[in-house]
Amino acid sequence: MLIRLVASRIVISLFSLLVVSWAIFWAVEWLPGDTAARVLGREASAESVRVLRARLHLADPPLVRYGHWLEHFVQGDWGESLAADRPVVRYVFPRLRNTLILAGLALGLYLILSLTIGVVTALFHGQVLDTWLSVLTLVGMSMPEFVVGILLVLVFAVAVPLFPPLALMDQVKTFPGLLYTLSLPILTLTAAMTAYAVRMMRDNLIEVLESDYVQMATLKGLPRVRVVLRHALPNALGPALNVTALNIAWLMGGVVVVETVFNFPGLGRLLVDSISFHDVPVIEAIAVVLASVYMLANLVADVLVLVLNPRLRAS
Amino acid sequence: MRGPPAPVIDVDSLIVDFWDRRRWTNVVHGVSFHIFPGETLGMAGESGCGKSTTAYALLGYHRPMSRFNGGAVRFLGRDLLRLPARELQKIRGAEIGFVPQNPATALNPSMPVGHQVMESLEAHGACATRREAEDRCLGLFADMGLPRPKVVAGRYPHQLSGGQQQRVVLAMALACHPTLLVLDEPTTGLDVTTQARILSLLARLRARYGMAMFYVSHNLGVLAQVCNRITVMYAGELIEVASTAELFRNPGHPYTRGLIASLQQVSGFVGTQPLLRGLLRRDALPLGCRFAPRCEYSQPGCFTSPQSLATVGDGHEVACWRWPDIPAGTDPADKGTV
Repeated sequence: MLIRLVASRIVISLFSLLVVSWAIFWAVEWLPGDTAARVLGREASAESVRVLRARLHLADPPLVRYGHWLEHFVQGDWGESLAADRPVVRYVFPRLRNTLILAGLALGLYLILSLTIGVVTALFHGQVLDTWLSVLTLVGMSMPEFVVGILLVLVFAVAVPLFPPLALMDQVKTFPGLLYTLSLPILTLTAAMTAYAVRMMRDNLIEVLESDYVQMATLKGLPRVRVVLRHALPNALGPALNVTALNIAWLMGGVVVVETVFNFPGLGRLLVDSISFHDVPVIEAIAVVLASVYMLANLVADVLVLVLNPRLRAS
Repeated sequence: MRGPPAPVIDVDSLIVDFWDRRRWTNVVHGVSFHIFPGETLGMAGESGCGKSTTAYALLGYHRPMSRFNGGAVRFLGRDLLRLPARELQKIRGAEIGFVPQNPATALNPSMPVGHQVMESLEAHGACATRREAEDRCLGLFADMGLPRPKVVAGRYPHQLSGGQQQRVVLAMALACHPTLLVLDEPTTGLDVTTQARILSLLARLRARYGMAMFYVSHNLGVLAQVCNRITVMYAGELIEVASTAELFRNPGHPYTRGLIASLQQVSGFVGTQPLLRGLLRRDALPLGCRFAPRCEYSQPGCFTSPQSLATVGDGHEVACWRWPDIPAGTDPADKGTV
């Protein structure tokens, strides 16, 4: 059952990636301007632009170029950046590493926060603590990430200079140093994700806490901690897991905005720069990587939901 | 000198309220009864009369959005309503077992049923090792008449039939050999044949384990099969208490008579007793007898003077001041001619 699900998902994902790369290619194709003109700048003569276009094969028909790119890509050759004359792999991977560090830390904090706040608000629902935390999550939910980011910078980097306003990765030596440098971008990403997950976690847990089997666990004489952690929590996690998958997907887009706000050398900023250069191989590589992370997150969430819920596993 | 044995549990003027949108509404109103060791006491009444709430109170438990607002539930001398949570934990599931109304929803859907029984044994320190807990769990499943205990133990609740689920829940309740077993409509969701099997299993288990039982049901016929004594509840109050034989031979309260008549009608017996009419309406209870609006024999005085249990015979109590005026077998149409 599980193996069949994973296998079918991988097939669907590969097909989706193909569609994504096709759509991205045409989106870039329809943008005004081209790589040669951007690389050479405004002063360049028409002749030098024509020469460069020929060298980059930009004069070929779009379908031929897409076919050429795809042929190499599926063989593991991600090609050369059009704008910088460097292999895409060398370009993309250091940035991907940075983005994964940022996203991973944000995700870790998100998991810790949404679980604990979700459980605490559910256990104390209707009381003062729950009301305040609920208001806070609502505020977090309704603010776009660039507003949260700029607010955090204004408060914690400008008004009270606790944390650096820019996330400069080359100065980082140690793990605490990394946390310090990335504190504001991490908080920005976490704020937006946590709010929604906390609400899901809280509402589900409240419902499960009122279920017959949780009551039965209490009447069996189990300690409260065990009733909540062993009987209520696993049955309340399913919907929160799906939200988490969506959040990881959002994270892949959210980093683009947040990286720009904090001038962080990640995949998102590379994507923005590459689009302005019409640098198709780089854009395609980033799009495929982000889409893969998205699909992988969804697959992992679905597998976990199955593991947690034996009723779904059987059918 | 030998008096009656000390009761296992002694419920004294229990009051339970529920939070109903913006105010507390009384649901159980000063209920008192006791259960002797090894005895099975039944509680009959229609939906919403407070039976289940009373059953929960026997474990010192009240549902969310409700509260104990008075009275005491003394289990072997200790008042469960005033025990700290830690002490209650030690009693629940160990000395008092609980069998819920709907085993399908009372079992954790994401845990194999064997684990759910073993967990109870482990929480109460009934077994030294996991191996021992497993053996005891399988032994219990065999006692409950579950075929292939080992296979069943590894199953999830949704993979079992209703009857099997109820047997698992019974095993869970009896795991630590409780002194008292509280059963809240344990056979309501089951078909008639399965119900009969569970009832005979209960009789065997009582003979074997010797626990006292509190059996809640809306079905007097079921109670007649398992109980020594029966209490009848109406709108949060006890209106009659009697031994099973006495209750059926000589029912005192018009409501009890109505219940018995309904039972006879279902079984095809045409009696002379009036059937119950109307429904229990909690929002329109009179100051006096709560049953008065539905009673065939009510008089103006019934609506203003509250009724409480009064002894009418050996161990037989009725909460109706008019009971002597209503001889058994009398049709209300003949009122005054007999």
